Amino acid sequence: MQPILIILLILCVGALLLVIILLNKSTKKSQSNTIVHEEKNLELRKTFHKIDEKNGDYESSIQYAKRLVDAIFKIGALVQFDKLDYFLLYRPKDIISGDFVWHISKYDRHYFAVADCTGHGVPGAFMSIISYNLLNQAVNEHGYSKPSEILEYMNRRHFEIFNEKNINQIRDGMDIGICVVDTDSEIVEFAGAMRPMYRISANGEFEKIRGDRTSIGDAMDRGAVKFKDHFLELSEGDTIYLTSDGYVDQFGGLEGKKFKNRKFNSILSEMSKNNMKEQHKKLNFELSNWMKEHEQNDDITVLGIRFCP
Amino acid sequence: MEEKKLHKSDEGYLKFVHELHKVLLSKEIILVYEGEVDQSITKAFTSLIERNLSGSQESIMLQKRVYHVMVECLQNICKHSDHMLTGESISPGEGVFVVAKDHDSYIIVSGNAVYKRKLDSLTSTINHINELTIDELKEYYKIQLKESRLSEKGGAGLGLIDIARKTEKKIEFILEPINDDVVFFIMKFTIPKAI
Repeated sequence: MQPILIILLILCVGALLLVIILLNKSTKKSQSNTIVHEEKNLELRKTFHKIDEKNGDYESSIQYAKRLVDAIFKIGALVQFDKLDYFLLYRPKDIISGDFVWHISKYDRHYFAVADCTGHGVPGAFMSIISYNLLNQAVNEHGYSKPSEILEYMNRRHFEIFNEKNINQIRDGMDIGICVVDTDSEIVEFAGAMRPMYRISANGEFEKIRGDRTSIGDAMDRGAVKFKDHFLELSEGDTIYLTSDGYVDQFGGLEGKKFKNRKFNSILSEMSKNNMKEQHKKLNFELSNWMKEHEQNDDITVLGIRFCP
Repeated sequence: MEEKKLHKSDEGYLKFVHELHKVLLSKEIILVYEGEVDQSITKAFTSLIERNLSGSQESIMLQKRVYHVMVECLQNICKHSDHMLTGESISPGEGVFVVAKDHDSYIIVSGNAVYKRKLDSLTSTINHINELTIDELKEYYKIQLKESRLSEKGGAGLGLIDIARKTEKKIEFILEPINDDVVFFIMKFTIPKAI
């Protein structure tokens, strides 16, 4: 009896030891698991913090860029024109934008442009700043006076800067409408690169003047494309509009469709009796009403200029 | 001997420059130019005359009239000049350009070669403009504006009509034949100081 008891006892102790060892092992494992989890958590937290920091950096850098862009384009600055009233509807999709508005006056010739550069956000803003400077150069340094000459200069320079050595066939450029409102001769001169100009007379008569079907930056003829000038008489109460395609291409409505040209045109005709401030409000209202929950899909710009001698 | 001869002809030439200078002064010629007219020339001349005018305390109205007429004239030379001998159109154009003043006005003269076949429409446009009153000019301007939109060729002389409207003076011109195909065409625009 005695040896059997001893053997049993040994077996029991052995089993117990085995259980203890096994248990110990598994605890160790789970302990190490917990450690791994904690490590991973810490890593994640660090990454989140980094992203947060980067985001903050990005945000403040964009905000700073916006300050520079605002300073360059003087958006919202109050410019007074003799014999002209105007409004500017400007809604960038992001903080900074690929749409921009340019203006310069030479005696009674007032130059206006609304441009829509490829891309929006940061790349759009880069392109905007370059193009804005080219416009100033065209008039101030080279003395170009016709809208077609300004577009031809822009196109040449764009081709040289962006596309001449570009072997990828990616075309960077912009669509732009330029008009010169001559309050002395009482005419408007217009030339467009893939953008039209609208003219609504005081009695609501609607006219759309189409620009050329060439974008700025087009490589045709190595940048030596010719643009056409359109000359229009300007009577008291006439309003002309330059736009980017953002407004008519905005998705919205019950079926989430584009706003479309026809609707935009009829709004312009309908509000011919309204002053510039009211028109600004109306276009803003119609846009918000259309968009509702829809996200803005592009930069939106509408410039309205009324002749009031 | 050779040296002395060269010296003599040099002296003749310098005397000529002196005479030229005296003429420029007596005729109060501010600017005279012969040659190609392109954008850089246009820019340089308009800047020069603007500086000259703003220094002479002329009215803003006169400044902008002179500026406007200059730009139109230089563009005319640049875009509508023909070859002195063959009459083929050339780009950039070349010609002669003068800005001068007398006691009550500024005078701008431009001259360039014109192919004879283009001459009739040019002279009849100017003669027509010269016959019109200010109000008629305004009407004619509107008609030509509409024309310019209907056809590529229409809208003849929009720039000239605009000058006539703004200066309220007749456009003077003469024609000097160069050969059977080409004439030298000179126009004079007068801008009254008291505009």
